[in-house]
Amino acid sequence: MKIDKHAYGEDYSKNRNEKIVKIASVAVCLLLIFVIGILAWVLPQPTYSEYEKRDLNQMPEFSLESLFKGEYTLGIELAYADTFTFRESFVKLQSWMEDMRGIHIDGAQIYGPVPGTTGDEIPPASSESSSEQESEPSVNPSSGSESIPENPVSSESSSVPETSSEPEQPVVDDGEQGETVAGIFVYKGIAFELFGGSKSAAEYYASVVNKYGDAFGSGVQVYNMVIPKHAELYDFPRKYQNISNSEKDSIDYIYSMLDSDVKTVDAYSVLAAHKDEYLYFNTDHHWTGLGAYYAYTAFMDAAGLSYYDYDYYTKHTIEGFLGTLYSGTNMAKALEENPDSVEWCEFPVANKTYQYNKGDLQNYFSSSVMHGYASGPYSYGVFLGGDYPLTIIKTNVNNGRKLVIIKESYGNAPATFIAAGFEETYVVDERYYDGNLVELVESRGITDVLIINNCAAANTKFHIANIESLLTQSYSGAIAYPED
Amino acid sequence: MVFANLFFLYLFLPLNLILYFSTKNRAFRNAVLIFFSLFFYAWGEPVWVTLLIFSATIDYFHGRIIEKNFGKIGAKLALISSLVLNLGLLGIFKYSGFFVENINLLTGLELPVPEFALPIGISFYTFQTLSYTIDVYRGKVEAQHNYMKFFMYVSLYTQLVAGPIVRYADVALEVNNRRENLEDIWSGTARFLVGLTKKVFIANTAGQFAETYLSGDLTAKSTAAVWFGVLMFSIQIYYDFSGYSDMAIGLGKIFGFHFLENFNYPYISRSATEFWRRWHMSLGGFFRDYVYIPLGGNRKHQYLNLFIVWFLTGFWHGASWNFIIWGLWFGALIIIEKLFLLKWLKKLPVLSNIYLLFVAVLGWVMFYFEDMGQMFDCFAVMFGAKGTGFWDISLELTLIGNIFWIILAVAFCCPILPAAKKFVENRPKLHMPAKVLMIPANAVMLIMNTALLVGMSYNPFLYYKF
Repeated sequence: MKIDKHAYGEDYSKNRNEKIVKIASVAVCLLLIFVIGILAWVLPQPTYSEYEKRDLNQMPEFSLESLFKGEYTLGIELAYADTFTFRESFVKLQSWMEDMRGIHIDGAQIYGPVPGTTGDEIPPASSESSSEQESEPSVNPSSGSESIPENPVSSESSSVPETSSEPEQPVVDDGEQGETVAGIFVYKGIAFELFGGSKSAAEYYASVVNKYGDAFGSGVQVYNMVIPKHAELYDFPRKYQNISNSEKDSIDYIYSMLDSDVKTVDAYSVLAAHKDEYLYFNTDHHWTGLGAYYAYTAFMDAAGLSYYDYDYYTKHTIEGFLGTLYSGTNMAKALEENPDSVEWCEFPVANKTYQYNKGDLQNYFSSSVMHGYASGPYSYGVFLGGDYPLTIIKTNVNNGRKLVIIKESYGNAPATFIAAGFEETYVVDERYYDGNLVELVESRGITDVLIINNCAAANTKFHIANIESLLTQSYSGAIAYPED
Repeated sequence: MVFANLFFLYLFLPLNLILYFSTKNRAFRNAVLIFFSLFFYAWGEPVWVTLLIFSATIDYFHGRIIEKNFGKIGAKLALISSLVLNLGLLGIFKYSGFFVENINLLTGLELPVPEFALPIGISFYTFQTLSYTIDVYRGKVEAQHNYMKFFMYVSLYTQLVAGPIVRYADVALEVNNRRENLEDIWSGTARFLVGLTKKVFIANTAGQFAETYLSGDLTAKSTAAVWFGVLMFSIQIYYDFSGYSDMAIGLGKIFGFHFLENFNYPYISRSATEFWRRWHMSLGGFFRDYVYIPLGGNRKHQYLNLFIVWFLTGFWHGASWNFIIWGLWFGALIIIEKLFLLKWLKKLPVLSNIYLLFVAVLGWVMFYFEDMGQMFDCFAVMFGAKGTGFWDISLELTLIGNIFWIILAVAFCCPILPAAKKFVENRPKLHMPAKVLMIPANAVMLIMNTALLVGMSYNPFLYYKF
């Protein structure tokens, strides 16, 4: 009897303990879900992600049509994920877990070699409406070539522009919307965009540049500059040498197909000659002011103009720059520990500078060439303030030369050097300018047209189609130009 | 909606749980489940939720009519009506485009190709309701008289969109009378989290690799890279699908339902025959009980029966030739095994494992590529017929950079968890520590998956396609 009772008691307390442990096990999960779930509602929700450089998805507006199409509910899910509690901490935890998945010798790590490295899968410009871009459920920039979405205008309002009279929005560079990249390779604290390239895209690019050669009267000289990117010029140890396809081959191939009336600018050689200098950022896919400076000298040679010595400029530096590739690798720690600095040169001649906002060529506002207030992840925005559809720089130079630059964001930095050699420079962003290029060239008395692209953009059909349609598209209203 | 989704985990699920357990009233609980199931389904399919309701309603009446006329011609007619309607809906929504395209190809006609968006889960729920009417007709189960209960069975969101295919007969008792209890809630929670981890931690990552290495121009990739891609897809589809089944089973347990297992470590099989006893068991069982055996099973024209079953199995996975090829590939293997191979395989322990993995992985190539040209390129590169080189450095970096993850992903294809469970069960002293350990383990899984979900937008659910 006694023994039985004892056994029963032990059993009873064992069962009781087991019950408590089971309750605790479920309760901990429930508690986490409830607390996080409630915080997700209660805490203020961000609207913009600095590091992704994009507006976060906001709650969609309800309409029966969007509900039936499933867009409304998808929109809610995207907004919910985008504005999730402690989002940045969770992303960093995810990034850490990704690091922990394996071994990284010399910090070597490859981030999503993106599919379709041929570039043939990028839809043409016509089918690429900006709303489609924004509704893409792409949070992870390493998951696709189009994954660093467009950021029209930064919501950062604390920075006060230096020179402009108009309230100015720093248009932050958006990391090459739609550019085809074959993945990001991190090595020794530096992130490289890998080049895939596509023969057919290169041929398309050359054919479009050739169209420019034929588009204008005899008084207009067309130039083309294709810029190699970091991976091309970095001295990798032997085993990594073939990790990125040759941009040199692609550039040579493009140049070989250009008609003789288009002058090619050999940026490659001058950059290669200085490749041990700080020409490209560690954490951003752009080049530095110094890299752009060398390309500028090559262009001025081609254009038959003189250029300034680098020592001539008054320089400033922005520290602590973590750029697009830092966010593109979900904030890789190796990059965080190796931030960039952005050295920029004051524009050397007297000038009046004007800019236009996206979608509106009927209003300009006065601006500046350099935007020294740029900081943090926007630091590359120091050059021209980012990607405006049109920037007009008028100088006191008197040589009868007027230039149009057709560019993506890679062109921003060299434009801030080149413009000092021309009376007027019209910097056109191939993605955002709505006007007609022929009309611009003819109405403004342009003498020189430079098409400047980085090698990946020159191999991306989205960009090429944009450059092509500049020749044929037309703006609905009358474009206003500053006359002074 | 899918389970591996922040909105589901942190909003839908907690609200569902609070309301469900706020009362002990059975009718109220059932109503909560129906409401949340409809919401869950309409969330992703706001239009075709009507089809789900329609399908459930007609089969409710079919069931009643069959029962009333049991053994008479009326029952047969009702069964035929149920078959025609269910398979008709499936045919219209899933297969009409495929049929018309192929008729156009064969005849040169230019009939307009119907373009229906496939309603989510239609392949699963039509099979569920079919199993119900057939089982009622066969007298295996009583018809459900309560419409709401029947509707709850059909619409139950836990397994609605991606299986397992739960037969009414298996849950009839629980539909009518079930007891939620701590033991089930506790083990269901853990089961759900394991499934979530399989989906988010393994399948999503494997899916990224598969997409990376199997897209674009395959003939520009090295042999090893394409093999890696194919292996990653094999990992992805197993973890994705079995993870989803785990989540369904776990959630079902929390609400007091006990669904049958759907996966039993298929990659440790030693023959294609065995593989299909371990892979998507609820589908295999469906075709066995409702097609193969009625056709005559192994008693008459067995090979024809096998051919039909495997054709249908492939076709069920998608209205595309590659799925049919994939189904017939397994059909052929199983016939060969029946003829002579199985005897040999039984005598060859390791070789038979390698054989199964090899043929299963080849099967996944057929399954992956709807485009025959790409499928052919993939096979060609895998077997070195394109001379693309064997190795490349980017693959090497990927392998080294993910080596721990790869080891985990491969290891958990083997029954490690059941072995660990058995180990603990045989040692009473470990019972308590193991249960205590599950407290932080659950929390870690939850937080880890949350971080991955926040960090990854890449969250497509594979079985939506079917």
